[in-house]
Amino acid sequence: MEPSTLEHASQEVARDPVHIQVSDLYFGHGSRSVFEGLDAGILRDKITVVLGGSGAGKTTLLRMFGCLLQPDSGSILVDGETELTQLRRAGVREYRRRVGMMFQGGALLDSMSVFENAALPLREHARLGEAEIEREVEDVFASVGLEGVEGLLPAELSGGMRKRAALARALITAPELLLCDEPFSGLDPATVRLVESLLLDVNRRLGVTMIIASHHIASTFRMADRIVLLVEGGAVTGTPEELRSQQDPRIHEFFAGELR
Amino acid sequence: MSAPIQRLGNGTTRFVGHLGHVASFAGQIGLALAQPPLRPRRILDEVYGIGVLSVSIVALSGLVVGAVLGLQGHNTLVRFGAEDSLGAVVGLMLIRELGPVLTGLLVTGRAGSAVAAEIGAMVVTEQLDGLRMMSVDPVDFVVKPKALAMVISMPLLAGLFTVTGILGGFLIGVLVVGGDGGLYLTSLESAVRFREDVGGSLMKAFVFGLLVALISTWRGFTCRPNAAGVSAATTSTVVIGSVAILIFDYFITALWRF
Repeated sequence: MEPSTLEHASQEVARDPVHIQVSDLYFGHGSRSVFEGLDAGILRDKITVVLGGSGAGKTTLLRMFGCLLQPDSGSILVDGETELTQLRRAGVREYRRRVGMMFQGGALLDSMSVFENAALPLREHARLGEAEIEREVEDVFASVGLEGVEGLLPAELSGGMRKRAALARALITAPELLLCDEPFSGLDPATVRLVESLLLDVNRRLGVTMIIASHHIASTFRMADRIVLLVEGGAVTGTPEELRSQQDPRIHEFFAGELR
Repeated sequence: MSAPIQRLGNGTTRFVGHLGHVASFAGQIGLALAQPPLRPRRILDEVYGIGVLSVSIVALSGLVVGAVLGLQGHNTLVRFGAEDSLGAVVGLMLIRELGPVLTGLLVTGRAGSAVAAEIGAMVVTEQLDGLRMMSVDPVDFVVKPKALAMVISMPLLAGLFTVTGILGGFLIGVLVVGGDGGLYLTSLESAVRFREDVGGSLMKAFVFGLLVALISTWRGFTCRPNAAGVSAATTSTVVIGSVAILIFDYFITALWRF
């Protein structure tokens, strides 16, 4: 029997508000340790910005959420049931189908057109006809304000357009979790605001859990529901207001230094 | 006294470890080949990049090497009164040895280095990680078509080198030096055995194709994610690939008498 709408709704309500729970995470490069017992929770359907100084491990943490990197020890639990540190190859493939990632430089395949880049996940995993693929790509391009560039190669796009194309490719499979690595780096202020509004729109419209690694403080305070501030191998987590009102001198120093 | 032995031991352990990684990588390519999709469009694109774009350099080199063999062969055979065998000497040297080996070295320098550099650049720009995040296996999507195209192209290019080499030998040995054209072709035809000579030549080229495919894709795939890493991957592809071709050439010749 089909579950009723009410049952669906109650299942939604019952979902754990914590999408990803990081516990006691340790990681190091050679003799330099990056995480020393890091604990942090990522809330479902919210925008969480991972902040920190250079080398604090923002991208490292993001890559661990994408299973591109394994910690030395600790736990990364997704949806209360999928332990990322224990996944085998098939499990990783399955998990990644629910995740989109927007890389710092876009990571678009430079030998393929922008259209072919966005269509690639559908061609690989969805059994859709060419007309359906075209429609899906057109829709996702329209949602990120990217039209008329389908036939161009990634090298022929501006920085902002490349970010939007990367966002389109990450969204084409309707992921539950979107990882964005430095989405504002290398962009002019107007384009930063544009990408910001796109990410906010995606989050509010599609209810995607979004984790953004960034050092762009102004954008962070404009769009973050939660902040994970990486300091000295650990993390301080809270809303932007909570972090601003923290008395911890390390947090004060970080924001004062960044906002000066 | 113990330090050099320890260094030797560490070096040997590292080398064996490397071989293990390369074997595992080769296994991944084999597995990807055994599983659909075959990706014929991508393979054809790579055959064009690796094979078709190498045609001019291979044909020109073959012609020049054949011309030199024709000239040197004529000058040497005249001393023994055996200039009628010029076609056989040029043909056998090209078919059995120079065709596959020199083609292997040329393709390593032109296409092997390009394959390593392209995959290395994809590592640097996170394109391979981008594929992984889309649950697309980079070995299947990127490495497999390039490796297969290399293995397909190498015997065909070696054949081209040999044919243009024989033509070069004919041009010099017959048209320039004044040898007999009929004897050139007759001696060639009677000396060459198809299965042993031509088959062996194609087999060598096939093995060299496998070697260059594996070395170039492996070096690109595992390069450090920076400009120096790509440069090192490209250089080592040419060095390791060339040396491997020469070493394997000796063993194939010695073991199977090709």
